[in-house]
Amino acid sequence: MNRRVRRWFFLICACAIFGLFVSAVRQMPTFGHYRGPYGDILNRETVYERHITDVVTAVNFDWRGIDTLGEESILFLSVIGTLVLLRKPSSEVNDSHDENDTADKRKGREIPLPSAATRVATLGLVGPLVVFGLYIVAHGHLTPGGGFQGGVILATAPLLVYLAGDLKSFKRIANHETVQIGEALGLLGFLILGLPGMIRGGAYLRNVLPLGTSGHVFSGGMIAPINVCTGVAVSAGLVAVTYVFLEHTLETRLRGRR
Amino acid sequence: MLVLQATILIFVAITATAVVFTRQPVRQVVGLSFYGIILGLLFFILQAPDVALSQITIGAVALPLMFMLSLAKIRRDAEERKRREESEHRREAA
Amino acid sequence: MNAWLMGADVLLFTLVPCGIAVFRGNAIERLVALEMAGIVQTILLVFLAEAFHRPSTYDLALAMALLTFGGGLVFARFLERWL
Repeated sequence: MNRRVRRWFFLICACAIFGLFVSAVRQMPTFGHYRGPYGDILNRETVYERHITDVVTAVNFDWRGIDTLGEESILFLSVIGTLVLLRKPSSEVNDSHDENDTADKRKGREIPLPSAATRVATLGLVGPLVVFGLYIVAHGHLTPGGGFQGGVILATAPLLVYLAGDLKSFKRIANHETVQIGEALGLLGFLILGLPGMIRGGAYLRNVLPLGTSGHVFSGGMIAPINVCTGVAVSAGLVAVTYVFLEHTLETRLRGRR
Repeated sequence: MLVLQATILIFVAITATAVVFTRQPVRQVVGLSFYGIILGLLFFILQAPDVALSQITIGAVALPLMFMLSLAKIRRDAEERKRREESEHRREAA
Repeated sequence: MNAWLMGADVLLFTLVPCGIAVFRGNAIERLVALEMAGIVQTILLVFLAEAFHRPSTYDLALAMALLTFGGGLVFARFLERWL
């Protein structure tokens, strides 16, 4: 297939796809107009039935709880897959905390230590980030956010410790075994929280806790505990993946020295 | 409101195209971060604060860090391979 | 249409020079432009939360304010040392 044939082939296909695209766009509902009853019903009923002010969280963790469990498992499996792919053969384990290996020094790429200002500013942000992450997780049913977003913010805190130039502290905080256990416990908690509903004769993930007053932290029944489990699983998973990536990059650097 | 929505939609279209046409990976990651900022605004303007918060938290630190670590590793592997080939070449010549 | 929405409208266009610098400058200029865009976005999120009358969405601006520094640090660290 030479260049000319290829171009004609592309043009014909592009025209066909453009036609289909235009006809699809013409049949779309007009911009900003929602068609279909479910969204309106949810908007009307959520606060009344679940005592929750954030409808998205209610949909994610209550009305479509099983779907979220599936997403959670996808995240878990992808983290496991990454860990397995990037695992180290036991012969190459080394416990070096030194990023500044000789291969870099030789090429005139020695690593400047982060300045005191950077260190103070970065490490000073770690505390507020942890508090903010916990707030996002705990208030998932009241304000935008929830287990996933809060978990990512919580995972960012140890990453900042690494970025401040303190690899040793990062490795201590993000202890690999602890993080993996946290990841597993998060998913396990989600799975177990679904069981009480079944035991009481209802469906899986059915609410069994009192609903409380809407607008308060302790409201919405099961949604807050499930959010906390999701937060633990997400933050642990993200830290675990970053740890392995980091380890792998540094490890290649050290191997290059031999 | 309509002006805001139209503007942000145009911004998203232009930025996405610019990211695709950036050829150098490191520059592309910077462009991708900028695209993430615009995308977070789009989600918020279209009244989806939950999605916008996900985009902001992921796009700020975690996503660039993953990309940068991968790029650092790829570059290191390439350098190592080049060095090994050079030393083999020298040995053959000797 | 309230004043906050108009302010957001105007502020949105300050992202244009940031965008041009992000895609056209050298490495340092790109990074600075990205940081600037992060700051503009933080203020924009405050404006929009006020314009939509939804105080709970101030969380987004707060998240951006806390995280944008870390994002800049990622690039600074990797550009100076490995790439």
